[in-house]
Amino acid sequence: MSNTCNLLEVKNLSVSFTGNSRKKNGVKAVRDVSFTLKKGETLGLVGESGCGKTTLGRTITRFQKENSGSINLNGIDLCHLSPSQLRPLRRQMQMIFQNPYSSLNPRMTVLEIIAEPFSGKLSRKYKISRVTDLMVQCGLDPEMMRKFPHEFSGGQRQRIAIARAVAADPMLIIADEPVSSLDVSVQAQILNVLKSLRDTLELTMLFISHDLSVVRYISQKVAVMYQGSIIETGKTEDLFKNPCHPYTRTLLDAVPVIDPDIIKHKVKSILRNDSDISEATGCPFCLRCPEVKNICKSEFPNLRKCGIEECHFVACVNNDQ
Amino acid sequence: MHLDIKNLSASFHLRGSKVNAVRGVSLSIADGKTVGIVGESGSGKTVLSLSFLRLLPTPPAVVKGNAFFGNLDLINCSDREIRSIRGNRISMIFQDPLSSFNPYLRLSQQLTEPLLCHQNISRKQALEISISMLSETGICDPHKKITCYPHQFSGGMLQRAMIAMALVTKPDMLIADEPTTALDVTTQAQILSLMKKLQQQYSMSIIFITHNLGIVAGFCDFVHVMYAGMILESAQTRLLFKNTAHPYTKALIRSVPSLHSSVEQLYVIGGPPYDPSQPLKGCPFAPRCEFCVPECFNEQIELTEIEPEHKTTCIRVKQGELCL
Repeated sequence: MSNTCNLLEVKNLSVSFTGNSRKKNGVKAVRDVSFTLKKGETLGLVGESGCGKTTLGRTITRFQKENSGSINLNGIDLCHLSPSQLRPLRRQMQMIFQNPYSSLNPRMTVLEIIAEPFSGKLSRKYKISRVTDLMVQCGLDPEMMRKFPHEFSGGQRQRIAIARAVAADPMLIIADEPVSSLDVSVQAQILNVLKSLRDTLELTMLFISHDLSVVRYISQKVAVMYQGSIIETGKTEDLFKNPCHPYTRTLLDAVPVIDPDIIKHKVKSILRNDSDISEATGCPFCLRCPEVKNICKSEFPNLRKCGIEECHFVACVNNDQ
Repeated sequence: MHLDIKNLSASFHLRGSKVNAVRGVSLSIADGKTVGIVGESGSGKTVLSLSFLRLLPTPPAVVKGNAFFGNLDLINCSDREIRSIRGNRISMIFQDPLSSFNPYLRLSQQLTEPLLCHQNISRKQALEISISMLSETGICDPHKKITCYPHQFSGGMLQRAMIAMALVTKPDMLIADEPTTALDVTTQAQILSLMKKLQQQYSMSIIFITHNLGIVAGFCDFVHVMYAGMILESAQTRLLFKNTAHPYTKALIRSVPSLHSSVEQLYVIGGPPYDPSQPLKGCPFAPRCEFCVPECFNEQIELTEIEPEHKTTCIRVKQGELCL
């Protein structure tokens, strides 16, 4: 796995939150997660709310401290850096947030927002020309650069957020549910902007979403998370064609399909219950799994290679046979 | 109970300009049916439902038209009459469950409120009905959970509690305004099947407001597509998808990424969204429509039938020039 062209390498990352007296051991938000990202690749991270996908993103950008494991960005270990060493690297990791209404400073103009990540002292003229370029790339009218965020619609604000993220010329972009608060028509526009930017600027992206159809559209690789662990990962085509984990199949079944003639199979897995955070040693999904066996309750499944496809891994004991 | 909306319009007077949010919408909902209203944000779908429930503040809103619920005209009846209907025989579920509950009150107080307001029963009976309703929506241990505060529930649980609150009075009609937008796909599937189950149990009709065409395809019997406060196409669900008769509907369908095939580029509806403060002439979608001809900008549009249970406003489809 120690490939030098990997831009991001996450190894055995675990994050837990403590402090609640009710749960003595704390909440394990991310458990033993490993993945790699090459330059120009997009990894889609899918899962229900509360499965730890946002925490994983926040840990990579160092908003959150890990308990164990390592994060390697372009050969630099991010976990053991002092704040002053980390500062120049933060520029290399930009985030796009879910809610464009709260992630833009209402007191700054669009010009100030997009120009803020630029490094060093720059002339105003140069700044304006860079911001103009960025706004055009993101599908915004550069005439509007002196306006304030409240004068824009949700889709336009998300474009501003994307322009700001791209402005620093980052190595890695972490997009945390960037389209889930938008309408379908606006969502399509934003996805197209992200895709074209990714192709022209060779962006490496971690795309966090709970919408599988969006992930299928934007990413080359997919990782499915459940209760903090990655339970299935693979190339997008392989994973959607041949989903191996029962949880992945549940997620796929739950997506409403636009064709009224496709009769949806009933969502087979036992429905989600908020009290089912399993403290047991077995498979985290065993309480809801429709294909549960005795062994699932005692043995924690590790990610194993699945089927004939390359890079397709699944954490399910049923898959071994 | 049958709901018949006739030529309903709602407008707002804001700083001298007039914003027409709903322009002359007519639709009817039969007993026990599910009707979907689809459109982008700003198309007037929420204002439509708020206007016939009289939940819009007047002024600034001006609501005109008729909405007959049985024999009663909801728009022109007295405040006392609408209060006896609203929350009792017509209930509503809102989009964001987190902000729709009062964070200071226990769920027990909020769930029993509609019963205590509308029915002549004791607090104890109301609590019993609420608890059984809560367990009906799939919340385990409802006796304990009903004493919780809203922040102790997750989004999916709160949405269930909201459905329970809307259904305690056993309404004839439920208006669901994007009830699953804030939820995960798996939770969404659960909430939808729960609503279907309860609909059959209490034989109510549902108005389902959403921008998700996938939900419409699987959940609704009949669909109205709204744009700029008008209905552009209305059809029985299967016909809407199989035999789409308006470019706007087609554009909406095409802009959804597919789960079953990969595409290089998603279809995008070009041009700026409709500005409701501008006066309207011709088809509101014409400036963004790839099939528009000069007549589209001039001719008054009208919803006419092209086949049984299928109406459209597109003049080119009606003349048979366009096959989508």
